[in-house]
Amino acid sequence: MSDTFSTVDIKDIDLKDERYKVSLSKTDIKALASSIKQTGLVNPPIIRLTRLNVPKHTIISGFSRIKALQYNNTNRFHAVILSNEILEPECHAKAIAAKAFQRPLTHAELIVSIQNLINFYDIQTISKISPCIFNTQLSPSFIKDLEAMGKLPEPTLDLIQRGSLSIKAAKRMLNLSNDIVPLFLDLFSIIKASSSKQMEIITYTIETAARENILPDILLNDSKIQTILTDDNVPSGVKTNLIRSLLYEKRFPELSQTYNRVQKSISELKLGSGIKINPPENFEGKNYTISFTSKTPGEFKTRVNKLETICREESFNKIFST
Amino acid sequence: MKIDRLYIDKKIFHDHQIMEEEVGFIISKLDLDPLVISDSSEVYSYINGAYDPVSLAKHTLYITQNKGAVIKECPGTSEYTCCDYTILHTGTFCTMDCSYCILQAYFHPPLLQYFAGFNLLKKSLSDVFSQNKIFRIGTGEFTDSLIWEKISLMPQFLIETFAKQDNCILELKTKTVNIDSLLPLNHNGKTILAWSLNTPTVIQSEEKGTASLSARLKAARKAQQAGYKLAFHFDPLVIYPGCENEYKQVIKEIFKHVQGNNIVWISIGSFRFMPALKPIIENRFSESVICYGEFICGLDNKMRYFKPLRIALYKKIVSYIKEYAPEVLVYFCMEDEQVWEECIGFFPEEEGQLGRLLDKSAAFHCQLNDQLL
Repeated sequence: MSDTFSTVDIKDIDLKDERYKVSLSKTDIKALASSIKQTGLVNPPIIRLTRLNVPKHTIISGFSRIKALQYNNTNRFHAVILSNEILEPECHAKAIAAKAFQRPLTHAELIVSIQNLINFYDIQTISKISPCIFNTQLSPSFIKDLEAMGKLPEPTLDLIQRGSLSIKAAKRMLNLSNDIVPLFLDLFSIIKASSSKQMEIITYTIETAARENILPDILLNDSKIQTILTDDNVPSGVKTNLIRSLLYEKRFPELSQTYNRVQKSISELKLGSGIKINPPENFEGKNYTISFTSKTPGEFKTRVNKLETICREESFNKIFST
Repeated sequence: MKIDRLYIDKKIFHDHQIMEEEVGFIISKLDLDPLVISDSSEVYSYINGAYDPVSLAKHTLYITQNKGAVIKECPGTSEYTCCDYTILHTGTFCTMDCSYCILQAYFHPPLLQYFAGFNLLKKSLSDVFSQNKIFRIGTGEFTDSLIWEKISLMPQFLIETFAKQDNCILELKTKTVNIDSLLPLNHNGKTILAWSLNTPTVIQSEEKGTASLSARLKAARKAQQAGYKLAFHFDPLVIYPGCENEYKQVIKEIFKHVQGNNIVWISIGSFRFMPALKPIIENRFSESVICYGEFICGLDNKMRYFKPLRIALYKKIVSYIKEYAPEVLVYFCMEDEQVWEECIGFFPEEEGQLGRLLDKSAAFHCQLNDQLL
């Protein structure tokens, strides 16, 4: 028996059954409904008959389209009805392919898709058939990571989908114990951080906690961090930078203190905007860089005079004694 | 650590002289049927196929020929002062399992190789022995010098070869106590037995499969009794709470076991690593926190402890050593002018100056031809 293209009654669709749903993006149902009204159903949904005695169909692909039809009060619509001979894994594969050949799947959708397929295929097989299903080659190691990410607790998927948790940071969390992961998920639900900052926050916390032999939640529940997190007046991006800095200071206490001390001495010199003093990177090399800019000969002389003056100040010498 | 699999290069296997005077002895001691191969890629594939190639490589020995340079200069960097050491390349990798070992990341993949062929060594060494220059030569750069002492005649061969000349010293650097076969040898003072030392805390947590501190120092005492000159290497120093006192104890223990005037030099260097080593340590030694100190990226792109932390620990260690042996030559491995000045009070600024200081100490302690200084 082959797939058929026929008209179905919308009341015969089991809208609650979302086992084949891949897409996590929020579709504007009103806009889609309006488009269908205007241009008709360009791409018919794919469904399968799942209960024979009381005919009920499960959606394979087209969840948003069927919702839009419902919104339009459409009673009957055209759909591709899969043959009853098609097995469960093939239905999942079709559901993924239907989406992946329209647009690249998001990372969160890839995770959901792998979760669906892994019950039926091993990793090597998924990798082998991935170009036909995902419209791209997925390596076994990437599939393995996606599978593991699928086991991370809620709201991992949601955060990945929203862009609040990068795939790199999620991967980093795979090595953490189950009681630690929710700490970071909570944190990334509140702040908005780039992937590199997420990685820094995780790394500083984990490494400091390991070194100090304390639990990571002691660091993250620090009163300064909590104050920043709960302050509604601080924008999300600023919160991220403040928390990252606090964690950096805990991870590199001596380096941070030295840096702050040198910066204090530099600011005491009141150099103004035209002169800059830069200590060697990480205070490892020998050379301090002093630079200045000038637009006119007069400004040049002013800068030189200022440099001559600061040489005699105590703060200037302090800069060099790290 | 037990060797589970033995590969032998076909060329070695069919060389009767090498088999008779060297490799046959190793095979008899290992009690393994060797797999004779003509292409080293077979060993590489075997190692690379493992989930943890580093661990597998520690149990897989490949006896082969050295196809590269037998003698080479130590790869220093211009940013930090190097001791101008000469490396005698007798093998690669190690059977012990130190978390911080750079060899885990240095070789791709790591491979436990034993370079057979005394004739090749003899020829290369005779070129060095005939030069009007002092050389400090060591085998401990790419491997531990004495891991094969129980199953190989190479240490004996080297010691007896060096005993017959007077412009080179051989430094055998180890974390083992494998010296029994070396004690009765006629070394003529030209071999320095050197131990890498650390605190019992670091040895226990980071130096899996190595001898304990007390065993190393007892071995050093035995070596001294057999007339060997000694050296010690505090490298890598690891910074952790209470480390100063523990290093102080280690130094006290050294001088309980051996006399300062038998120590040719003591080197000091703190833990530094290529960034690529960090994930390897994290994967292979999940309990280790050695990478989580205050490391910054150094001028040679290796991670190093923040300089004031290094200086603070070095100062203490130098002062502890000087308390017991003010005359002993202490030097820093790969450090800069500021570190030298602040910790020792001088800096070997000229190119080769540190090397010459070490040559002088070697000449004095090991009766080298001092006209070559």
